[in-house]
Amino acid sequence: MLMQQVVSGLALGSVYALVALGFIIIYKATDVLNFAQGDMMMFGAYVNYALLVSGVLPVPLVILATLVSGVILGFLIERAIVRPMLGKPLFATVLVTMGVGICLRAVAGTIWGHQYKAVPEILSITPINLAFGLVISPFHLTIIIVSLGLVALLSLFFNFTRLGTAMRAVARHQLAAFLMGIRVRRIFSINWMISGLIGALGGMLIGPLTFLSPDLGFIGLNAFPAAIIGGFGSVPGAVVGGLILGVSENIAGGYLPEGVKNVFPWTVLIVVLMIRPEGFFGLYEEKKV
Amino acid sequence: MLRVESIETFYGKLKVLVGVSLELKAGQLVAVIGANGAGKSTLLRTIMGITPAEYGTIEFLGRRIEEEDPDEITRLGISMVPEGRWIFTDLTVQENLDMGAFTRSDREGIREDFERVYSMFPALRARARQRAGLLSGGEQQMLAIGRGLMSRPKLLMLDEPSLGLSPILVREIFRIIKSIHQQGTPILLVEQNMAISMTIASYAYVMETGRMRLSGVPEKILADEDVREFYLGEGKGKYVSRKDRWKGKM
Repeated sequence: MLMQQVVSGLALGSVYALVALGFIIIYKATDVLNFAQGDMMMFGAYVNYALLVSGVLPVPLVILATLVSGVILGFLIERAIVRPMLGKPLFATVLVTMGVGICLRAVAGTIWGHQYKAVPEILSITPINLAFGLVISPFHLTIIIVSLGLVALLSLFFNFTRLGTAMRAVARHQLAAFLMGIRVRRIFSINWMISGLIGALGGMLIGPLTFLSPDLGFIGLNAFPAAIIGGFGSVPGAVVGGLILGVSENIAGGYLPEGVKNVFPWTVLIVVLMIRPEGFFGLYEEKKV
Repeated sequence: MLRVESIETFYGKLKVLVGVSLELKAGQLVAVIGANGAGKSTLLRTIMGITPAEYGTIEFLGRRIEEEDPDEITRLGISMVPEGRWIFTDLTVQENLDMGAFTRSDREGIREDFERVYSMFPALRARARQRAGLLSGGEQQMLAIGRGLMSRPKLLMLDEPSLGLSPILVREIFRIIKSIHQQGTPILLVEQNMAISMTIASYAYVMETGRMRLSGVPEKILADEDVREFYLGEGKGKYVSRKDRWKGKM
């Protein structure tokens, strides 16, 4: 039973890891905490749902279209709302992202209604047997593989391509990046598009794990403690943070009174920060201006 | 190739550059000398578009650039090595150099320039795969200069390359700056160190509290009594007693 909770916790946790990475990518480059990240995920889940229900596109195209919609959403938010805030106090920008999140929730509620909806299943949930009598559904397994796969891909992208290196350079020293002739605003835009893609993928994966509602974004917010536990900055940190949260939340849900499950991520966050304030992978790094 | 015409730059209400003009002709190494707070760094930042000028014009290769953004100015061919180096500490040495060449896509030429920088600064070659944050101060300065060269700039601007380095390293860095200039890159050098700068400059400006105080070839600058007294510590107060100057008695 315990191990079973762990296995399904890993699925939830890898979605957290994914969304946490979305937070981190924007934060590292632009210093903006994007509180709309969870709602971007929610929006992706709805787009995915709508396309599946309408049945006009075959499933692979639905997946592709959802991902593209995420990229476009990220692009639009950056271009229309965040970019004009450049040079304004950071605090204001962060509040604006909160506003964006609320708007997305309202838009989703207007289009798709506020009642819970179940996402059609693409993948079978018939469990397959793992070793030691553990079972996992292909669906959970896919979530784990796809999220961690994307995390690995992004990590390769950041470390081994020129554009990825430039994005790290922008995150490290923005003004110096300007002096390299790097078009920093364009990099910001790419950061938001990647986060949008991550949001849409997270939405697609998490949708079937729970029911759809405009409040799904709050689950995405659980990725926030995941990012902090991981040290808010590193890719492996996000993965470890996400998995710890997903597993511990699931175990709490299984063994502790009802209601504890929802606050558990934040409880874990407080405990971890009391023991290790910089997070698991965090370095006390000075961010030079 | 670079002509700065009576620019004025403000930090808030504080006027940091007061009608500063400067000219750099092709092939020159122009030095701007001045004490802390004279506005030398601000001059370079203004040329780069980091702290744009409120008034005045800046012309580079016949093109007005005072309204451009720093990334565009870099793409036009000015490369600035900032005071404090600003290297990307969590990138490797090699990646830092590669970022210097970000505006270029000729792989062959970039590889040649890696080689050129590494032979100019052998200390960097040994540390090519290490994080740049692990380098010593002198090595970071070398990396900053090397990175500035990777774009094959039409004009290289160096902001206080001697800052925080030991006298031996300062001589080493200046030897390299001289050779970069001799290999054909025009340089605008900002420095506090008058003595060593005058050994490599083809033309110099002396800056004081946001104004150009004096300009000319190094021989002329070094012959100036005030310069001898204030920047080189010679003159022993013969020209005017230092005490009297502080009291305002000229």
